[in-house]
Amino acid sequence: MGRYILRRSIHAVFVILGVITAVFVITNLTGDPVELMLGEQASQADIERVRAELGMDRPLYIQYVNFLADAVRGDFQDSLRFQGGAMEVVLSRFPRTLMLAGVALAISVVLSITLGTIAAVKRHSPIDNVVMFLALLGQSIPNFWLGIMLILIFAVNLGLTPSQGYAPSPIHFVLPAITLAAPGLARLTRLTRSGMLDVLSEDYVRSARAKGLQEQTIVIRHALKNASIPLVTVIGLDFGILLGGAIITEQIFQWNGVGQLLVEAIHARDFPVIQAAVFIIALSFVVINLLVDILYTWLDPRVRLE
Amino acid sequence: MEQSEHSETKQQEQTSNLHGPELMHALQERRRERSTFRRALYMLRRNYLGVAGIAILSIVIIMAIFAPLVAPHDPSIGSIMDRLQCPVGTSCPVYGAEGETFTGTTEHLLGTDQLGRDILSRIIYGARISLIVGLTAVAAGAGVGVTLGLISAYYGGWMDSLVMRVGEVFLAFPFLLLAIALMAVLGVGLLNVIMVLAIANWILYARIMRGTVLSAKAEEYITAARAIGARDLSVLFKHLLPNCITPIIIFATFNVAAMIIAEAGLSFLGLGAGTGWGLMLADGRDYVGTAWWLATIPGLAIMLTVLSINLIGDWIRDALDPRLRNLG
Repeated sequence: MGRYILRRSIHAVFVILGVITAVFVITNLTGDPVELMLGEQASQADIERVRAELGMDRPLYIQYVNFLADAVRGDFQDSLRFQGGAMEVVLSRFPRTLMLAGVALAISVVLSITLGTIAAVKRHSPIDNVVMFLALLGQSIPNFWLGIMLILIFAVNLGLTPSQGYAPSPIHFVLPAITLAAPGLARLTRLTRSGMLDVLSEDYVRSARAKGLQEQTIVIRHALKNASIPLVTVIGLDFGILLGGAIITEQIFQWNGVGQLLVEAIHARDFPVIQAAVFIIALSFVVINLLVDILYTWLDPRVRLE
Repeated sequence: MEQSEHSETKQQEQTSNLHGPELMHALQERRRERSTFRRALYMLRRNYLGVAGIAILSIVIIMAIFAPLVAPHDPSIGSIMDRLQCPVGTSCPVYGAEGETFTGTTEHLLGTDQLGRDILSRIIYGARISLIVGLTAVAAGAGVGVTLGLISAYYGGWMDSLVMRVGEVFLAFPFLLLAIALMAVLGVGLLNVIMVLAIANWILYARIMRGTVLSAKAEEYITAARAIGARDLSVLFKHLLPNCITPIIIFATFNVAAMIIAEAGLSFLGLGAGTGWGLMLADGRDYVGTAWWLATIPGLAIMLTVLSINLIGDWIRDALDPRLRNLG
């Protein structure tokens, strides 16, 4: 297991180096990031000056090596809008995004496993049909629209929740977390149901029934435990989708996390912050998938042996 | 009837030119195609949700194609006097006139926006953007991904490693983040959105294709085709591609829906095609407390279109290969 973890970790390091390279390539995609940064009204003299200040007048491969060396140390130069380094600005907002994504993930996992299991156990019943239709609907609703509708109903009309803004109180998390959780919840419910249906037809479930075990014990201890193993990978991938989705959700609810910061930085052409934000989100995605892979080998020893 | 007989004869002529394993393969292929098509149609008769999906999507497609004929007003022209009128059958306060109430009229069935533009007409024209982006982004992403997946699985070696390692870097970015980062650099516009969504998406097709080809290339018909001297290109595109395309078709159907949502999401952030349903939604967000219909109606349009495609995707998957349910 130790060797597997080491191999996966080395692999993750290479992926992270690839991510840094991709951020560099994306930034240099249109030729001159300085022109993009300063806008069309900037004079040629200003462009030249900033280019020299940022070291962008050097050959591209030297820029790349410098960028790589700085990025590994977490240095993405100073933000053009805020005081201080771009990475510091991003990291100061990151806990909010992480908390929102974490709460959304918890909602999505708990509800989807419950609903998916019920739907599988009560296959072809009205409950199953309703759950599956809601899941299909959930997959089809754009979460930015869902967020606005939730604001309209629960904040504007019923006045039960705040319509926007971040505060470390549970009530502020309700609408953004539900908005962010919805697409993953729908997908995970469908996957849980299909996974449970596969497992429920296995021989060991039949043996458990033949032994006279209670249905509840069979479903929870025998079927769900085995059906949940493949879900772990999906949940890891979902966390990435949540981090991506947080960009839009934070915009709707003025959450002031990394997602909102990124969109504001794009509109303000604050390239160091864009690079730092893209890097930190991608980095957390890679790290979480690494942890999920390690967890998976612990849950399912067959993976290690392959 | 006559036409179908003619096509049968033509097909027979085509098969009569084939020999050995190619003939066997062509016959199997034709039998499979016919039975798959019949099975799909048979399943559709029993699948009410699939029929509903086709009906809704047909309406959206007709709306998009015949927008100039169907739309009651010019979507870009509005009168400030008509601003923020609510949909027919509902009432709302008159904008700027305290205490007065306006009841929606048939002149603007779905009401008007903050600039007095007809919402129904904007929805009808907006369908064009969604469908164009959804279909072309999927076609481009699938085109690149399928070709690379096919080649990397068939040849293996350094080419396979290169495609998969580059792909891993793409997969390290959450999809929307990559799309947003690319749009930030390339700038808004219809072509850029299509390109960006295809770039952010190709690896998913490449991985699905690679996995399918890896197991298919060991099959006997591929060995037979190579044994009779078929060239690599012929093996790749005449034998492997048709036999490995089913998971791609299923995934692509669901992916059109995902691309429509992604385009609307980018437009919502001000990084999209610069027009369409997502932008209408973003505009409507500022009026959510006073004019509910501005955000509600474009969202419903997106949801119904996406739902219809997902329903069709479910039907196609069940008809082609129910084992691939994880692709949805």
